[in-house]
Amino acid sequence: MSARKKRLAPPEAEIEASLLDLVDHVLNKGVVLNGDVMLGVANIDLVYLRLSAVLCAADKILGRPARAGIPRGRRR
Amino acid sequence: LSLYVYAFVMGRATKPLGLGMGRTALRTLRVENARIVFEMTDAPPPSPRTLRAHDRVVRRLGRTFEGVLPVRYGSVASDRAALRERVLAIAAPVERALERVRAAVQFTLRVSGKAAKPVAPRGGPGTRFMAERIARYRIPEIASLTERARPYLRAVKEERTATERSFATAYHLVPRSEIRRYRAAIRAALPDLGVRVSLTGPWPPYAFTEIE
Repeated sequence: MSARKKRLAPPEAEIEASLLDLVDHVLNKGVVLNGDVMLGVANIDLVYLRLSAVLCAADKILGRPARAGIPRGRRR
Repeated sequence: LSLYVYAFVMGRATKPLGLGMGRTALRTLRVENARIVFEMTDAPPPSPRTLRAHDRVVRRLGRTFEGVLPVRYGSVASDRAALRERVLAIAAPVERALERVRAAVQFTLRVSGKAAKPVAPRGGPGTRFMAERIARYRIPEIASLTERARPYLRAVKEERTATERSFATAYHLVPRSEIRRYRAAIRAALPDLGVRVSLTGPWPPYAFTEIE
């Protein structure tokens, strides 16, 4: 790999995530601490749904999702 | 102000914790052997910006501690006593969960294209019901990929999720020391698949946070 290519590759920890992944991981996964969840509504799924509704537009605003350097599988 | 919670952590911090998304210092609270990272701030309304900010903080914690167990976005406690009470109730299982994800990261594979036709299960209604439930958490379309990556996986989760972009998602828990070999195995497996797979990561282990 050339030095130029090495410079262009982002460090793993800094790879930006797509909004789809963020919603899936940050809102939909993780330890739930019973009791004090969240944001003025009792059920986090409501927030998930509300945010999902703007996903498409927001994804366009935020640009293309980052990948981990792996090529896509064969397209058919 | 509330205590906004980011993650449980294990081990010693290798650098300063820095600021949270409310731009105030991150703090830790130790309850028995569990340690939780929080910030004195109210939960911000969810938006692409705040989700990214939350994720950045959790990622940073993942680079600062030996193990990190993310807490779901928006989790708050009214004060330290309330947080202590919540953590105390789950301290032992949290410790076990942290052991599972120690020094490991998550990769997420979204599978799209043509899904395999489901095989109709045989047997009585109970058997069929159970078989259908099990099938929701299997992705036979990428079985060869999973097998190839298996030596580098600590855990796997699969779920069939019908979205516009994919019909299934797999989550792989990979020890940091195996990331390079894992990626090579995935690369080698992709051409033989009849479906498309997009891989993102490394992530904090968001999908491996069961408290048992």
